[in-house]
Amino acid sequence: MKKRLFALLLALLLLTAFAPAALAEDTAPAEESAPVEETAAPEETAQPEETAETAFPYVLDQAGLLSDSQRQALEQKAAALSEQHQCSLYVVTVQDHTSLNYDVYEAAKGVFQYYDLGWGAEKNGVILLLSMNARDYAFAGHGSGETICSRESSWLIEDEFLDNFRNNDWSGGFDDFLDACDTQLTKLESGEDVNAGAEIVTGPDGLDYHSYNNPYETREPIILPRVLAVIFIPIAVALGVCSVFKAQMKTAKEATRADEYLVPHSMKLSRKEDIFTHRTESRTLIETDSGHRAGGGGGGSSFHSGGGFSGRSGKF
Amino acid sequence: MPSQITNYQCPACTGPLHFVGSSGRLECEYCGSSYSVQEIEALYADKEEAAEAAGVQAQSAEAAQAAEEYSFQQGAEGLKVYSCPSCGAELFCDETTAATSCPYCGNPTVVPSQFHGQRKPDYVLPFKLDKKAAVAALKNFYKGKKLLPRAFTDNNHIEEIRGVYVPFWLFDGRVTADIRYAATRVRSFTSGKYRITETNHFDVRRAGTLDFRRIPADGSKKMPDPMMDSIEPFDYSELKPFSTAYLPGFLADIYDVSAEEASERAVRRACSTSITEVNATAAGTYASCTPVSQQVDMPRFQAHYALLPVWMLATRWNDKTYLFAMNGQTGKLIGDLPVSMGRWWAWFFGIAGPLAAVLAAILFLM
Repeated sequence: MKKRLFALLLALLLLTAFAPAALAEDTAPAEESAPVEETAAPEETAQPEETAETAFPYVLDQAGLLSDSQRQALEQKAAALSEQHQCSLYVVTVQDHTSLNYDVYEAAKGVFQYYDLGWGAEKNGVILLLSMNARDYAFAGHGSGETICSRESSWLIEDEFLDNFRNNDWSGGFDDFLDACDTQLTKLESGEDVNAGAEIVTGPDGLDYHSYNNPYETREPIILPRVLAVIFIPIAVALGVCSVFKAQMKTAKEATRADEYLVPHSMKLSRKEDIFTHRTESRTLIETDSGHRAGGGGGGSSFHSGGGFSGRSGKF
Repeated sequence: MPSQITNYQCPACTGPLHFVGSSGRLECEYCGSSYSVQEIEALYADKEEAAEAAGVQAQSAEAAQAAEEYSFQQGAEGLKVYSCPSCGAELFCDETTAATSCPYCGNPTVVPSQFHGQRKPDYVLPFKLDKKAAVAALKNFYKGKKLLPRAFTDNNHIEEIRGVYVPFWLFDGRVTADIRYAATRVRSFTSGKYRITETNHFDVRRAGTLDFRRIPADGSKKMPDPMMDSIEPFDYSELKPFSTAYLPGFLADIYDVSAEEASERAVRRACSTSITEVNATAAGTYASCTPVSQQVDMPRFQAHYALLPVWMLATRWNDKTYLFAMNGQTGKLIGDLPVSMGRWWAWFFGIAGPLAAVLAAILFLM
């Protein structure tokens, strides 16, 4: 029931953007339909029904973040890289992912699975989903995409694009995403370690932080604050102590209160009114998802794996 | 014409009598005899009455003369001249002096006419501590004062020490307070995806009365108000009905600040305390409680006139006089001391230097 509901919502959500995009794209990624055999004729590999099923654009900008020219340029780049690595690279933007799934990572995975995305029989691919209302992102990989979306490798990929998104540079961010996937897939193909170079710090909240952006890390103070501390803290302490000593030298002060002369229990209240006048209310949205807890730019991200997918989600 | 002043002399040897706080009796330092206050009152009742009558008569004559010409006895300096009944020397006193001692024969003298009519105090609080206790208290006061110049303690000597009965007004009164507040109570709860903060606003009013008893305010222009305030409190349970028999051996002044004038300070103090007390009844159950209007006053009060015991000590150092006051009943001593800037800097660098070194070691080496 849940799956059916997801499918219905997803279909409705993507229908308007997806169909015209598919029609408009002469170079729709028919190559996703099946593994391309070098010995096989193109007509034989491109099954009509498979083409219809997988005529999903590489760049689906439902949130309207990109201009036509930007979208087309990214589409072409994604198509070229997908073909080069035989691993489809998708970018999807939506205004609100919660109609698909409250969890942005599950929503990204759901799109990939529902539309049977991915390259060839292995369904190699990586999908990046941006949800604009809550500034959530998630990317999930399958097949060779899953390999480059390991905990460390996914950290290296998101490290490339997150700064762009935090500065609202959407086109640049997607471009960096594609480049980062290209780099990691190239490493994978050449037998290099895709996880090399990742410096992940896991905070007590369970989220992964970039080592340079870990709010829980005790950073080495830079030299100037230390010098200032060495100068001003002793001065402040010495001034405080000397002020106390100086205050001891002047003991005569005019009295301002008469507490000692108040007759005990003599206070008699003749009027005691507490009248309710009005009520004001303020509401604050609670961030419940663990990936959301880290808040906006600069927060941590969550690694996910299982079910043939792995990936990462967080906020930008 | 009878003398306007009375010498209290020992009935046994005619030596000067002094009131001694520790025994509560008048003692003769020559023959060692001692007498209760009541005995001396009875012995000197007639003399005092005569002296008071003479003084009042003289004052009336002076007043009549002043209407026509300047009084030579109350000249530009406002001094009064009395004749010592023991040695006949002339005593030059302030207009407010009510008890002193003859600088020539050393006999304690009291001017009963200064306490005539409305100027008669209701109470007197006898001295409990003597001159030695005052000197010891001053030396003790110097202890622990880190910025006190060493030369001050080494070279300083007490220039003057006087036991003075200072005129005080003691005010009884009822403060009426009517205060309005803007208060809030805050409740937070979760509803769905939202944390809701609900603030209930209240118009709060508290009105009532508070009674105060015997708020002191000194009635002497000569005494610095901050000093007199700072040696409080006095233990009023030891107040005695006024008698001049408590005065021999000490100085005493009559008031030159009226009850009306002094009441301003007492009322201000009572109102300040009242506001705090009333605020406490309103603020208890609210998250915030801010006064928006208040009417606090002591519309009526009763003033009692009392002489309270104060030791005044004066020391001189570097051509400057330092004045100290000690509560003659409790021994509480206050006063302003000189500050050695050399010591100030020594302490400053003595604290800042090592602290900077330790901090530097922690921040740069560890």
